[in-house]
Amino acid sequence: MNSLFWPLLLLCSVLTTISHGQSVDTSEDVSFFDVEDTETDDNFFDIDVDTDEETETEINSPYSVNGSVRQEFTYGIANPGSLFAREQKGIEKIKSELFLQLQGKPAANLKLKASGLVDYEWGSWRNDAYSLGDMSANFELKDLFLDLTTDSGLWVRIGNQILARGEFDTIKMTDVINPIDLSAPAQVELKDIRIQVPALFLSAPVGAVTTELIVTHDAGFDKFGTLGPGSSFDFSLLTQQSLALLPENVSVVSEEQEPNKSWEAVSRVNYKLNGGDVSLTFGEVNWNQNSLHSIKESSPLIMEYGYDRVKVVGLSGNLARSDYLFRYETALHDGRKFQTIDPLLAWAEHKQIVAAIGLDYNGLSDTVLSAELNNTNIMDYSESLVSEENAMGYLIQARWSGFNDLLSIYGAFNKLSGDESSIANLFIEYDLSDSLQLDGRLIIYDAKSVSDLFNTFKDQDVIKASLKYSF
Amino acid sequence: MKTNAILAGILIILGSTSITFAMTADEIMKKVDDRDTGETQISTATMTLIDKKDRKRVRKLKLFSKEFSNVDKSISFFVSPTDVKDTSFLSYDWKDETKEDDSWLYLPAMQRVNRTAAGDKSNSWMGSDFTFSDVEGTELTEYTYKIVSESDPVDGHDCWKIEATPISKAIIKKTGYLKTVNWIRKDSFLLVRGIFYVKKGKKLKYYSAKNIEKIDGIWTAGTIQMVTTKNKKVQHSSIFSLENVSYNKDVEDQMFEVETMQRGL
Repeated sequence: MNSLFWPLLLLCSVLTTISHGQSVDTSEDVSFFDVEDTETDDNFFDIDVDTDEETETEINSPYSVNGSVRQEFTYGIANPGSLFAREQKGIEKIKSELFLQLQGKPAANLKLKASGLVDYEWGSWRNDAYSLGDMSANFELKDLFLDLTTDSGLWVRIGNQILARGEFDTIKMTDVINPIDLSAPAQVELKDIRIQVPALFLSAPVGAVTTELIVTHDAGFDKFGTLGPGSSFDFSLLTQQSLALLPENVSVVSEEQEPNKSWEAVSRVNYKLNGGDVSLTFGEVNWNQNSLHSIKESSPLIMEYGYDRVKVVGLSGNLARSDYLFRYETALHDGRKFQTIDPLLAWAEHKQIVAAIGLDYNGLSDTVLSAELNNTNIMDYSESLVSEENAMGYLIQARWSGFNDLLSIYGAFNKLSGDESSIANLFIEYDLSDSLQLDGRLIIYDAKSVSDLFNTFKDQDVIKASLKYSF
Repeated sequence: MKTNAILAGILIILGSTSITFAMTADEIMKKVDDRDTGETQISTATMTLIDKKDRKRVRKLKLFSKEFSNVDKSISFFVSPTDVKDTSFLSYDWKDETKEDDSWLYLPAMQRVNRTAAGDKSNSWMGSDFTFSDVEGTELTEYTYKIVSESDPVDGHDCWKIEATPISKAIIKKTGYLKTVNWIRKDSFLLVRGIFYVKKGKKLKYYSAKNIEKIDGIWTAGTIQMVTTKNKKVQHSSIFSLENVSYNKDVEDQMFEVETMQRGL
């Protein structure tokens, strides 16, 4: 499906180039302007607008409720095959979504926020066609927290919250608190990518730095797709494929263990200086994806999956110079387990160093170009591991906004770390009005070989369209 | 022409009086640059964006700024509409001209603060006809100035008409303007009108300030507008109205930290 993506990305680039082309017009004089003819009082346009006298009342109101209603259509443009509910091209999903948010400020130093999402899928793929009916609504609690601040600068936030940190989203380094929604990679709305966790967050200025302490309880794990109506990213298929390699006389059952410790803690020290920011991260967390911890000798074999307890030490930051923003991040993960080639061996524990650098270029009119490179290195490497000792991935992206921010176009190509899997994404958003937003998206998955992570899902390419009304 | 961020530079000026004789263009613009904008400013703003089909979009903001000994800091919070609510923008405008400005953007969808590069200041500021260079200001030394007219009244107030020409291609690239023509009110050193010659697309932008009054002893334009035209036809316009402006009120230093962006108002 790359043949579809690249022309569209090219279109995005052409729009960018046109924009840039205009901005580098070498014409130095202003002779094309008839200066004298333009200087009349009429040119200064006495435009009257109705000023809303309620503005200050609205802004100073201690409570506000807002939200959005969103209708989304997803259409599969490839033939995923018999492993999935939708085996061929066709409607993948019709979904309605209601998002509500309450914000309040009951006292000068106290704030609260509560939000939730109700979504409803209108049907599912049955008997070689998308059929309406037999579906139910799902409720998901989003933010639910209290903020307390003191005159000394101490900030406490307690409750269900997102704590997005670090400089990169493509690979996990120091942003280790919130689980990620991987139920449909690259298809999830920005605001829904991270999953809120119950946490206590403390932030306090100490001299020139700001220190943070985050403690979570029962924070949950990354969200994957599961087999069922409409599901296209059931990652348990990968486990099944792995188990299919076992000898015929070996049967197994899987069990999943809860983490030994339900709490996680991360502390950060942030330093802000002219032209750049630096953060140090120290933490002990449960890794949000499970690994094979042990195999019990019995008949059938019991494969015990669990969640690694990982110590994290990391450094992240950025440097802004003129039109460029350079970003960097690195972390040592101590305690992660990695899959072995032999499916009858528990995964092996190794330390891992993960690093990424990125460069954003802001020098083109209304455009941001960005390139990121990431690397993972497994220390004390053994040839028995499935993963490579060193693995590289990269992301290139371009974003253009024009017509006074009415139209935005975003294109990205993400080559995943560790294999030849990739995700290409083209996103177009148009504001019909302040409250009505229309967007379209093309997402293309690719893989080169059967061992690639996305090989099973490489035909889940979709186009999506959604209409959102905000209130 | 270093200014406080968030339009303060083109909105407000100290009423310096009676030094209106025999001044050169450079001296006048220095007076404009040296105006007192208060140690702190708090205001509520309504920004109305109007396209050529007369469709309106309205954004409401809360603005804070504070002058420190070595830096001017400002922060703006979008209050409405819902799709931009809680978006905030923080900037530090260092008085040491060798230091680049610092700025951060908080997007509520990501719940993360991102540093932004200084970038192309000719870009639209929040979808308006104002650019980042209009909002954040430029250096006085980046232009040469010429008095075009010693007396050119605007709305009954005597004004100097001064042409400002960028000293280099780099400044043109940074601001997006080939030159500007400015009307400076003689009684207040306030920029009340301007024509901006836009390089990209060969457009003209017309700036005007209205509802001018003294608030807390400081000249303030209650409404400013910027109209973008091409071939004498209006393409887009932006009207920025200030309400509840106050100066020199206590604003805590903590207001201008990235943590405040995350917390919101």
